[in-house]
Amino acid sequence: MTDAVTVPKRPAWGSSLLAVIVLAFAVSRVGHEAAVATGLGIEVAGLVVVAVGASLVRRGHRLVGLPLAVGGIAVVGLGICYVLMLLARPPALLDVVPGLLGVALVGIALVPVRGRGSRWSLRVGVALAFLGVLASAVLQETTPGVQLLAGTLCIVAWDLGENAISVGTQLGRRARTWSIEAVHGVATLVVAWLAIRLSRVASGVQPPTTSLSAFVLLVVAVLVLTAALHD
Amino acid sequence: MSGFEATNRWRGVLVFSALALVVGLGAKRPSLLVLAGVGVVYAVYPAVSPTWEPALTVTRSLSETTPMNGEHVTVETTVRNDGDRPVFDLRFLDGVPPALSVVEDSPRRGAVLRPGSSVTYSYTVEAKRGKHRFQPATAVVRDLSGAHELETTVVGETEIDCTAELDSSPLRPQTLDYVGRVLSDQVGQGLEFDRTREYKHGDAKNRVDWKRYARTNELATIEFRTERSVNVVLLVDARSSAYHATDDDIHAVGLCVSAAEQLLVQLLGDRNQVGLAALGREFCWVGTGNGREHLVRTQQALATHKAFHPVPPSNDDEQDRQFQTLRERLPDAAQVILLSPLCDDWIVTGARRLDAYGYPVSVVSPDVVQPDTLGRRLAAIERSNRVTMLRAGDIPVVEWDPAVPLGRSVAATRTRWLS
Repeated sequence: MTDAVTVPKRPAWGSSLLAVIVLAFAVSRVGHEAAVATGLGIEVAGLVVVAVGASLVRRGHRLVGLPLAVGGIAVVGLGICYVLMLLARPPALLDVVPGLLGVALVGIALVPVRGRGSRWSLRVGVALAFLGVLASAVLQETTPGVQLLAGTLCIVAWDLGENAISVGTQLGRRARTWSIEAVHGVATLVVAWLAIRLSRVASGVQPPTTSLSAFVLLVVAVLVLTAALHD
Repeated sequence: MSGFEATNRWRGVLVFSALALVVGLGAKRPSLLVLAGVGVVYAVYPAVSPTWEPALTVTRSLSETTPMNGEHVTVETTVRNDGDRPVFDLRFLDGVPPALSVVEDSPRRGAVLRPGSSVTYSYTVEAKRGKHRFQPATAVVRDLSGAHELETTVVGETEIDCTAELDSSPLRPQTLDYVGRVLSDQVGQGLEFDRTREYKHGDAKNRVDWKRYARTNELATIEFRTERSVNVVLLVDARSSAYHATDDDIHAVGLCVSAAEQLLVQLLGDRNQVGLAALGREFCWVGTGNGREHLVRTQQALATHKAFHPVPPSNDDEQDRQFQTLRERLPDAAQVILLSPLCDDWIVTGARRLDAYGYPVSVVSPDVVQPDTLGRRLAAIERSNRVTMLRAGDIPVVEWDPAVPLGRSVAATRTRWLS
């Protein structure tokens, strides 16, 4: 029997962990109560336990790995229920719960629970978190600054998760890839910072109370231009 | 080298923007419009991210270039950015020879390279018998945003040589009077002293051993042995049925190629005329010849010709036609050394036919059937039947156990013939 190693094509763990943490941070800013932060912490810890369990199962230690993975999933559920029970304000269900579910889905996509990671699960998870941000804006539960930050962080988390999956597919977990993940992550964060500054400047030019429609038309024009550039 | 391709990884970010815009308009929240602007910036980002073609070179250093079979060889690969622009996202996959397996670490690496800088990493492979060339490495380069990707190959010539020396080859004692035709009565190059015999009336005067006559007053004639050289064609069976392997070792075609290499060097070293042929995915033919240039040409064919590719072909529909071509090209009275695992009956029939047509055949057959299951035991019995059949037709067969160097198997067979 050869001792040949196989290349595990699972998502790179560095970017994966960072993606989950960034998204959890964004959701914690949206749900600004302490209970939310604690619940998210429990969720992330549960996801780490699932990751450890899944890697043990893959290496053949089913006896230890399987209960660990299942236990991790239970902890994730526990975190969500904890927040639901302790949340003081009922409308918060609309802006916090999608975020919690989103973090869970992103974690499941990147652990990964299945094969090479799931881009679909990643997208749905980030979309749910983003919807939570939008809901918080509609319900006026958060300040515009928090909405901007959380929304941008959703996009950053998506980018990090997507990069983790692509690096995992092309290079596998055994290869040393932290340098390319770091460079890509830093570039995305720089663009995030730039985007927030630009958007703040743009919103500062037009006071929000007057010529809302003119501003909207401007944004629509830029959107159309960008869509044209894409093709 | 192809151009950059879009990865479409940023597709969908505009959906976020549109969503934020719609909700912001509907609920009259201008902060969401600002968020939509952020999405737009991210949508523009890949369009303005610059791309440039990279210039990469790869060099490798091996811990052992001529390892023993089964030895672990550490490969240290260095990738260098020779261009004048940085490579932000390089995903490098080294071209490990297809027949070898990696036992430690990974031949894949991600790296960020400034112009002129390089990255070195190492992994370990397990050596198997034969000569293994490294394939061109694959390098995937992305721009900073990850939206454009270029896949290219980087070539670095490296080889692992895991063959042993051979000191005798299974030639039958039939020779070609090549040298004899060139020589006349004059003593020249290519003559070796053989023995003396009693002088017979009519022997040439310059063949008399005068020194002996001066000593003993007896006339004796010196007999020279003309140097005999042989026309040999090495025939490798590279059909799909020959790609058999024991569980973890190299397959029979790889073993036969390695044996052909050793025989080639040894036969050419004895100043014979050697050629190469192969039956398989594609007919291979290198006409007989000798000399350094011919050796290089034949080695090149063994290393790179499609017939000897380490991956097995899908079918064998041309074998009869190839056999016909082989028969047409074989020089008269050439000896054929067939290298085959004898995994089917067609090759046995072919060998006996060639022998009947006047090309003396010898067979070197690696034993790659491990008799552990019932089916394999049957295959082993069938194979030994084939060997017996060939030997019954006066075709010598060297049964080669791949765990043992080829030279020893040949010497053992020789002893058996003589005893």
